[in-house]
Amino acid sequence: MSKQDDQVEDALSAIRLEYQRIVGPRSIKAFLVKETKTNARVPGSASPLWLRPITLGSALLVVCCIGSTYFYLGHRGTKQEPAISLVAVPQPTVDRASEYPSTQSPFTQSSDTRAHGRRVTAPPALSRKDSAGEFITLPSSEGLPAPTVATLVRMRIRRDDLREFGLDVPATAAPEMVLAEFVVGEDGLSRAVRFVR
Amino acid sequence: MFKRYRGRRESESDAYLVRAACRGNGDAIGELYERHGAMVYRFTLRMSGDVSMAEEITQEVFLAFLRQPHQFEEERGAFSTWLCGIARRQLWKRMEREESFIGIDAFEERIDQESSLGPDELLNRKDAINAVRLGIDQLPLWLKEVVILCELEELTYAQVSLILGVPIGTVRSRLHRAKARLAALLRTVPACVGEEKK
Repeated sequence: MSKQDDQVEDALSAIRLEYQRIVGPRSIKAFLVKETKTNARVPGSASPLWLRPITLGSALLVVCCIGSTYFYLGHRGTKQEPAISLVAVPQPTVDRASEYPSTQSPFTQSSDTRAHGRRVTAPPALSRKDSAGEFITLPSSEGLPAPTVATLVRMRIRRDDLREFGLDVPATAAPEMVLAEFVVGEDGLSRAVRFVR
Repeated sequence: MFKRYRGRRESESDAYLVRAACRGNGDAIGELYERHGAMVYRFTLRMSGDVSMAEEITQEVFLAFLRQPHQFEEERGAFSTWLCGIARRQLWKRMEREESFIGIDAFEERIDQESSLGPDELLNRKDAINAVRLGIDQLPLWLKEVVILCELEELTYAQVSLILGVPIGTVRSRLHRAKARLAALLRTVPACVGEEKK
């Protein structure tokens, strides 16, 4: 080792002593302490890396549960049969006397019963009583087979037209218009009638 | 043996403080700064020669830790090493931006200027220290940082290699080159040469 190398080592030792006496500014320490206390929640420290997949999985599970519940309820809702109500369904009022023949009602020809009436199973419909009064079995329907599916058709009709169904109508009341509900079988023939007051 | 034990205890203690600081403990970050802030500050100050830049970088280094504490991995090295690595990167970025590099040409020019001293001037110890101090300042950054970390901070080669991101052999060779340059600087000073001849 040459003399210059010794001098370098000696000089470095001396410089090291004065170098290591340097301390960091106190203001930085104060700033850091204040900063840490102010922002107590340091980003990233509150949720460790191992916790993130668990959190994400839980969130996905919750979303799936909510989604499947909605789907189930919605699907179930579409499958539910609507409650049968003979009274609450508004029906178009048709002047039957002027437009249609008495035995062949056009409303019963269509398979879609929503616009003209509601399909009901025959026994309950016929036996059910509502505010409008009892159903009267039409004499013209005698001998016809009992319908498996019936359609309720509401219409405004002249009283004397009811004679076509075998009903007895007094002459004084013949020109009157009445609101009537006919139970029509799947063959298009009326089975019963009742009058809506 | 004692040194190794002491080092391990300090490392464990640092890890505890780091976790506490991550949870928002102000005293923990204060303690960490007490332990390692001076080293970061000294390193940046000696490298840049600029007090305000050294203060800014020191503060930024600790703030970077507070913002992204998960980037510090205990398994990969000591906290001080990690801090120093960040400080070095920020320092290099700034110096690249400000183009304050001291190239090898400048260093050579400096040697020429030193040789213009009078031949009868005696270089005593104090002058040698000053010359080495100036020589360190005039070294290119990639040699200067090795001298500061290895000789002034007394870090191990392994620690320095982690900070610089180079193999240990490269650290050794750079240190050797830096010392050779400093010795050459002293050799070119006429007073020193005259003293040697006597």
